[in-house]
Amino acid sequence: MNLTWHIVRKDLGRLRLPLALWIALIAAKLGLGAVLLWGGIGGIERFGHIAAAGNWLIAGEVLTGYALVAALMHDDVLTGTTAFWTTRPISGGRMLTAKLIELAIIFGIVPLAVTLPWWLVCGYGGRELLLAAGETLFWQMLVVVSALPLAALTDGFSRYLMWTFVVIMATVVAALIISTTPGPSGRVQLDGGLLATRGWLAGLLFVIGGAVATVQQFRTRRILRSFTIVGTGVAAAVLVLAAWPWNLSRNSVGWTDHPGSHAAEISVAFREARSTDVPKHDTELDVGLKLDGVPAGFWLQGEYATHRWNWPSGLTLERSGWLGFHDYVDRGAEWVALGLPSEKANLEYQAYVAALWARRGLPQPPTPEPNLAGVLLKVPASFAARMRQERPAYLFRGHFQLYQSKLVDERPPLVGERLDTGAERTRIVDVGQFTRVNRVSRFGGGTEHSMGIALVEHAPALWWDGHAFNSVGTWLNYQRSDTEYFLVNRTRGNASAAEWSWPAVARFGTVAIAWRGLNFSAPSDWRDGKWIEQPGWFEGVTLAKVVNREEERFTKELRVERFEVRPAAKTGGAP
Amino acid sequence: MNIIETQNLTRRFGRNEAVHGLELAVPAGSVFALLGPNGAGKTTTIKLLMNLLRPTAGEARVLGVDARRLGEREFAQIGYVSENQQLPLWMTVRQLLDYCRPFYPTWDRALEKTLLAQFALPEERELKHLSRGMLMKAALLSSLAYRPKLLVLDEPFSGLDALVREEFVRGVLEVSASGDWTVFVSSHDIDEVERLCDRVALLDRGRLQFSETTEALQARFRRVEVTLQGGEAKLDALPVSWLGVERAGGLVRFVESHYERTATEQACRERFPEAAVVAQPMSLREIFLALARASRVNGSEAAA
Repeated sequence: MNLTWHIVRKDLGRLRLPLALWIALIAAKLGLGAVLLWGGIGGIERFGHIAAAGNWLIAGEVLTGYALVAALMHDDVLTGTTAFWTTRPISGGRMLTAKLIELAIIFGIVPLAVTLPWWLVCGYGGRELLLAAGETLFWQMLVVVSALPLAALTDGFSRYLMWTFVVIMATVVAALIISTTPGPSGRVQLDGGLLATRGWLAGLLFVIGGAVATVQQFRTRRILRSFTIVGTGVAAAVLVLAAWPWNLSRNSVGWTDHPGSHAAEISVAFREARSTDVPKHDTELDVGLKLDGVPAGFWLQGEYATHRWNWPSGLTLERSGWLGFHDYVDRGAEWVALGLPSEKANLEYQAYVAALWARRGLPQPPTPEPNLAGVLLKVPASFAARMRQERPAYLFRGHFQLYQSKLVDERPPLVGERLDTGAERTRIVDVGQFTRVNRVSRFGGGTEHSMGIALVEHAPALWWDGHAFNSVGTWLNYQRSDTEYFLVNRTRGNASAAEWSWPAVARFGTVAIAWRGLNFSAPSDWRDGKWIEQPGWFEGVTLAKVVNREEERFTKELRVERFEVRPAAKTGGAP
Repeated sequence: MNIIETQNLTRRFGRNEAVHGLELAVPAGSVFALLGPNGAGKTTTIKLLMNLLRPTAGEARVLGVDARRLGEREFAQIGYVSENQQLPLWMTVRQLLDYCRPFYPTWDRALEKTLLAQFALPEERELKHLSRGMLMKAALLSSLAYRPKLLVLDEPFSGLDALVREEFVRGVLEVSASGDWTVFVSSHDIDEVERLCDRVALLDRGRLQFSETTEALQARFRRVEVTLQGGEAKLDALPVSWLGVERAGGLVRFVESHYERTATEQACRERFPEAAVVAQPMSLREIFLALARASRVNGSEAAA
């Protein structure tokens, strides 16, 4: 083992300058993250520039890592017949062990050691540290396993780059061919779960092929055999990408219930169904369901649902899709979390709207109601007609998630104030009040006041944790769906929900950092046919952070013996 | 005991047969020269012996072990210096020695110091800044300091100037004389090898022409000059052992490759009655050249 470490010391000594660059890149990236979190950034534009610089550093880190693998391997080349080490008392196994130790140091210990202080100051706990370390290692290993076979089968950097180019081009071409190859039905079939299965299986085959070829090359240095192994792995991967028939991804595993104490208390009932015939097209069927028993402070989210209609003759119709909830009309759960009395329906305003719709000859608007779920399905017109003639039995089976809103912190809206929960932290970086004269409002117009608050948030964004989708959401949708902000006026017993502006987002070392601008309007009262802003509402307000957490997930079933469908009333736009 | 043995050792690269049915035996303690023109298969043979290439057929045994299974234990007793070897050029001479030393339990620090002084190598200079001669000396030093049982030198003299060659040869001679070392050297430069070796083999187009001690070789080769005293000379049906026969006026010259005084003189008298026959010993270089010319003629005839 001493001799193995002797080789390790030789290689690390040789690569001390590239290693220093490698460490500097990781540290610089985290340094930029620190500037975003604690530095005087100066505005959202500057935040965006720093975030972009961080992304360039990440790209540099990946490229440097890719080059480091080659440098490490090419110091003791495994191809040809002129390598120095091959005629010295160094076995292939010893050299392989040494290189693996070096890879573990450079791509494991170094990134973790450099990033650990960053995680600690960002408030990571033990579990988050483990997950962040795992994710960091996963991405580093992804670079290593991509680079290692090419580095092991080439004898110099130029050839390594050439093969890299060849592999990238071959991958792109294969992906294009596979993604545009028609399936048996003549259409391009892009089932997400199957594609995901093919993707990770192909990746696995590539990694296995590369690993076997690399080990083989260390042990025997028989280049043709190694290329054959890599080629077999690539061919198998392409074959899997093109023709693997079984969906093994999570989509196919299906839904798993995690019911708690509330699931049993929640019931689902059929409310009504309305159909709309569309000439030359399928009939639109709007099915309404009502969920009762949702406890105070909680709210439901619909997931995948199936609907089946059975006629006595044995005829069956089945449709499935995502279950949507009608916009809930109060902020019951959040208001409970904030400790505020539930908002009362404004009967005067409802009467005004009803009268307005009546004047225009429109049907009465639906009464706003919480937890009203609905789904718009398309069914063949013949089936819709039959539903109206002969009422079928209706079976519903849907998945639901129960969320609870929790107030995690509440502070005065002052620059420098922090709203922290564990490793999820928020700092107020700017506060301003604005006045706007609104001349065109249909409901009153006049002077409107608002408060703008800029926040810098940071939170663990870990792929392997439940935050994976939040992390994706952070990148793609530019907002975290599980966090809401309110300005609360405790004296008046009400609150104003934040209107989101377009945030800037960055992600450094598994920590998501966002610059978020919030805008709060003063609440208004409906009086004498006008919305009148509550005067001086912003005095003494506090900024509250509410987080929505999934507490339970469950499946509900419903059977209706005689499914009644009524024609939809003539629709019209809201006044 | 033979340190190196090959049986029917063959290596093909596609259709080209670089080494064909090689049968070699290198006794322990000998200095063995593998000679041959460029492209004869010398380097391929050495790569087969060092497990840098795998044979297409046949077998090679080095230090009693199948060459394909040479491991750490065997390489700890083998020194290998080749003009083609990629040394770690980023290292200084000192770093090279420091790196190599722990791998060899028999590393002799005193010998290292002696050779370092003898070769006048600048310890702190990076290998990439050394001249070709210095580089070869550094490689030789890193292969001698552990007193290997077998020293394999592949074309060690090519590209070296006369002074460096001298130092190089002296270095090898001194260490090989100081112990029971076996030296296996391949070269197309016979003059340098002649001073070193006690056994010699000639490889031509992948085929072994001969393998024997230099004494035996020089004993069986003679440059023969026949001075005709009138009468006809029969230059047809000459013995196959006569190489490069040429006639210039009353003088016939050839190289006898199986010289035996009585038999050679008898053969001459049968063909050249009343002729004066003078047989002169030949240097290795002359033998090599004679064989190379003969081989070229035979090759041309075969091709024709």
